[in-house]
Amino acid sequence: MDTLKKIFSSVLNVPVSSITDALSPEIAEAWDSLNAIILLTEIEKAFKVKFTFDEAMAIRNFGEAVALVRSKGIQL
Amino acid sequence: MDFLAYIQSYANPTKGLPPFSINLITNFTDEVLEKVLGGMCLSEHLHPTITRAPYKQYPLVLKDTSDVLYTSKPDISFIFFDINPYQHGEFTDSSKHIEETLSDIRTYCEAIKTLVVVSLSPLPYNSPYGHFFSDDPLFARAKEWNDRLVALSKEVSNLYVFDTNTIVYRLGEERVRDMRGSYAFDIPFTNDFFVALGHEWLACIRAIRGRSRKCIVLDLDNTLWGGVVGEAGPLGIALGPGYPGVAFQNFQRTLLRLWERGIILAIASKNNLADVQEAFKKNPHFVLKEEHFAAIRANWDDKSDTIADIARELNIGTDSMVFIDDSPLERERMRKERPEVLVPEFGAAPEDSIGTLLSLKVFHQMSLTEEDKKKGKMYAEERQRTAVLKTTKSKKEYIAELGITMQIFEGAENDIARVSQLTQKTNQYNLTTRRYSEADIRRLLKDGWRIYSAKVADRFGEYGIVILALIAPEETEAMLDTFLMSCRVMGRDVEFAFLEHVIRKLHAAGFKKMTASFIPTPKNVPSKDFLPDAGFVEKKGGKKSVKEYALDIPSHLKGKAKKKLPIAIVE
Repeated sequence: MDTLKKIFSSVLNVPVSSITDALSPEIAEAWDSLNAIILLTEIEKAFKVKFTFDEAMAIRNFGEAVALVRSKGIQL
Repeated sequence: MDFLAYIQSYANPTKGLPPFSINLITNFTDEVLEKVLGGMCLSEHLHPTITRAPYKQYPLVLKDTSDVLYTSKPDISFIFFDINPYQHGEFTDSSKHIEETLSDIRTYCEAIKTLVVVSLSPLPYNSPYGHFFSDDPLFARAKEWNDRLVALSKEVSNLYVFDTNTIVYRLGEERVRDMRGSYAFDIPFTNDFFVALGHEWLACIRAIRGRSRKCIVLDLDNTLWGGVVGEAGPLGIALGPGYPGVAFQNFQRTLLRLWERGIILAIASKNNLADVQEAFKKNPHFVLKEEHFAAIRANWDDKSDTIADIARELNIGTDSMVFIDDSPLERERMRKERPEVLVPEFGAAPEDSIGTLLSLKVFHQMSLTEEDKKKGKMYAEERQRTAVLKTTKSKKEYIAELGITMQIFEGAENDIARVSQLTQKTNQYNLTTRRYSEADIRRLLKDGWRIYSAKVADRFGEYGIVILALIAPEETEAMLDTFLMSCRVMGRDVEFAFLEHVIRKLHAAGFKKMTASFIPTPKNVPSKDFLPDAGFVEKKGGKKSVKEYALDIPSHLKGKAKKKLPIAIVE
């Protein structure tokens, strides 16, 4: 979980402590389309997984990102 | 730092750093690259302002000299057009686009004048043509683009080529290309690639900012050879045929090649000096000999003191040094005591040493001159001079003993590369620290500036061109824009003899007055008294950030006979 939070914290420029399942583009100002791509590629790199394009584009908040990573058999 | 650290740092820039302006011109979505590059500049303590060509508009903006790219006054420009062989694009469609873009790059370089780094496109080594990929017309097109860029860089003096294929060799195409990114977002590369590319570009930035490292300070036991010489003896250390000796030997070979192109080598070892000297003499497998080292310190002192001592002796800053030591304790101590020294992780496996050293990317220069190639030898000669210094009583006697001669050149047409390099590399004896590219120097000559430089030699050897004055004529006033001297000849009064000669030349050309300024930096303290010592008078009411001086030429020349310097001048 620390790895995932660190990625969100670095890319969205928010403190790790502020990251909850509800964190979304509406809350995090920096969560724009470009940073969404960076989140995607960095999560894939860190956990050595690959998401389908549709899976990745469907992510609407941090909680859904956690669920998607777990769905690939990764323990968080 | 890693990818995430760079982009985070770019979002939270440190305040108060010197500004640095970059133009970024590519043919893909380059915001990620901008963030990485920006973060890297901040890690080098520069505050970046990055101007990007709008997405896909490079053919228009490169032709429009009123565009912000032309008015942003970039310190450096990075151009990178990717030819993705798996995707349709303007470069793969027609060779006309190649011609047009080459012409645009030439126009841009000529207008912009500062350094332009163009990156070659990664070539496809996989194609429908199988092993005959070189027959593939798309491969041929990409190759033609790269070859034409290299050819262009030989004609355009401020155009420098970086080959991205060196990154592909290291990482492999699958870690470089991101096909999903290319199709979905027009980001054809991985984040790893952007970091690797950024590091290469940063090496160019360091080079033009005078921040490339000049000297490698090495430990000995388990760094330059395997084992401990004090215990194993001169022939018992691991060096030479067979593993691991051959790995240490090849590390020495790489160091020798760095030395041959002008990197200074020195030793800081905790050992008995006699043991070290015996090893150099008796072990036949040394590639490096004692004469390749500008300083050899084998003692039991703290290495952070030793390195400062070496820096003083060589007249270079500790911030231009790299410290290589297999001991984690020594590395930690050095990082703590001398944070400005670059201390890479180094150790366990000797076969990794070469990769560790070369991947630092801190020894880059934008050109290699004759002076660079002779530098190692010059420092060896310097050790002989130091011996003379120890036997002479006064500075005057020492200078006389050296038998210095100085050959003065006017114009610089013959050695523009060296003149430009001196402005880029000289930090200590430099009154104004203004950096000029080769193209800048050509422009100054065209604008009628007077450029004087001098080659200095003494009985131990040649120093090459080590002193420079750039003078802007303003009617009968001569403005000393730049006056600098390589640290190699500091403390020999060469600068005074040179300036006297320049003043005479200016007088003969009808100049009545000389103006000059001193712009203090954290590094140029050694030159702060030069102007008053040479007879210049400080203007009243000067600012702290720049001191203004003037000198009346006729009365200076009429003044009391100057003390005669024992330096012979050849014209």
